[in-house]
Amino acid sequence: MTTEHAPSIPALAISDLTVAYHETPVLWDISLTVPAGSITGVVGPNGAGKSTLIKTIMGIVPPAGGEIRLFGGLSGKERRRVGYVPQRASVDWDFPATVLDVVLMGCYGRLGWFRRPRRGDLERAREALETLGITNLEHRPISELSGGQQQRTFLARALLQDADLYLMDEPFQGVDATTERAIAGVMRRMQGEGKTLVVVHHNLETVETYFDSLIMLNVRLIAQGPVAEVFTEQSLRATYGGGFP
Amino acid sequence: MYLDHTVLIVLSGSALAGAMAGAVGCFTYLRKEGLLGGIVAHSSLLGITGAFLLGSLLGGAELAERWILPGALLGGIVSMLFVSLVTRATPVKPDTAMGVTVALFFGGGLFLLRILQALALPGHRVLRDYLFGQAATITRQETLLLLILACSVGIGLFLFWKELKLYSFDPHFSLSSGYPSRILNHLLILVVVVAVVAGLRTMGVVLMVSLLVSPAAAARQWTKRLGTMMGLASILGALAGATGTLLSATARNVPTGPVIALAATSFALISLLVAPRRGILARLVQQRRNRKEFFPFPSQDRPGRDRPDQIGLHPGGRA
Repeated sequence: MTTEHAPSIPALAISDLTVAYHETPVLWDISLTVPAGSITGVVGPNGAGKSTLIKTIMGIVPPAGGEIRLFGGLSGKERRRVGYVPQRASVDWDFPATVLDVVLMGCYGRLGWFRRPRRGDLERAREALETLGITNLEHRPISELSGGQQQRTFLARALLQDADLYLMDEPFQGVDATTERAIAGVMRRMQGEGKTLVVVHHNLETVETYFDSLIMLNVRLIAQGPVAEVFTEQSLRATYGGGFP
Repeated sequence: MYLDHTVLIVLSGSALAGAMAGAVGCFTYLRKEGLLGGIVAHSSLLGITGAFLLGSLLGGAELAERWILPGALLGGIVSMLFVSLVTRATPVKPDTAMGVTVALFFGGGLFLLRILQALALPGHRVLRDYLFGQAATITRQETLLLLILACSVGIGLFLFWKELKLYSFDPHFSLSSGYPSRILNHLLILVVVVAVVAGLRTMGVVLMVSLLVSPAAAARQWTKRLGTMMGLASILGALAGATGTLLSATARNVPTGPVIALAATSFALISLLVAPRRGILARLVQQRRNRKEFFPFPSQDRPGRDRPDQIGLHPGGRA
């Protein structure tokens, strides 16, 4: 897959997106663009619709209205170029699989129906394990992993997707400091390879360290742009109300 | 009892039914939909009795008996469609929808069964075998049919192995990888319905669910791979089916269903108890070992958890 885009085409462009569960709007009239090659953070209080935004882009949650363009295209075909790291707690880790089994799932989308992973996929899976520093866990049952190891497993799986745009739902949630540094390192490395990353994030203290650009969300879009411009007290108040941390 | 031709046919029939249920049960177990099989099985009673009644009216006892299996299949599928209709069209949650469905379809089936018995239609006695199972009367043709069904379920699971594995572990990731949940969900329901209907003759509608749940629960204890789990579950299911049939044959008129259910459940209980790593005993041993390693003192001198007030960690204690 190519990682070169004309700089004018954003990796992700959303216009007038509204999502509702039953009658309550979770996202209201969102319009934003994510420049290709950036690491973009998505912040906002609980219930702001951060995960819903990711799930809508991935096609898991249907939008009530609006338009989502991936690399300029509207069809589902571009979704193949999007990788997904769901929240760690969204699956039951007491599943009979080894770490390698789960990482290999990253190539299932590219393989398509009926085709099984081949030797090349296996080699790439081992490379991904090495990148995340969990080569020693290859044959470990996933029911015996720590939180940080689970997150590394999910990230290794995402690497195997070999996507151009990655959507990550709270990859730093509940992991130890070593893992957090390792994951941040992998993200920089992915950016260096020309990938675009959109990352749902909770910890406001590390926003400036990890991200070049920021989406601030509270059902409506509060602000978006380079971190240096939009990460201000004023927009934080608008996002979190008076009591932001 | 000696192993003559008939016994072999009966045994292989119940073993095939058990193997199918064991394999399919792994997916329902892992998706936490163990009760799904029970709903399908119970609900198929309405299909069985309805088909029997219709067959009797249209062509007599022989036709009625031939329509039982297709009727069960239809009953199972319609019940699942009904569950998803109720879930989508009303605010009712899936578990409640299943409860409503089983009440309607099983209740209706029992009602129809009563009527058929009161009417004393020719051949109606065979229907009682579908409540608690009676393997002894399985014919050669039925075993052949079971073999064909088992092969098709096996082929289906093999073909869609990768997709079903991903869907069972992480449905959102599966969807985002381009595998529509609707297709995979319907595929799973289809194999469940087929496995359930195949097992009805030996297990009966009431206890069929145990043959789906217990071998899977037992097999889960012994392995860290899905493939191994499924192989083991089918072997245990086949074993439960065969031993249950043998045991119930030693006493006259004992339905096979309960005996097979007991055999399958005992496999599960034993596995939960003694399996390495995951078993209850293994965990107790590990806990003891950990305690000895981390707290090598007699219990009064143990720091931390036992006397937290003395080191100022207790939330209620003085700081």
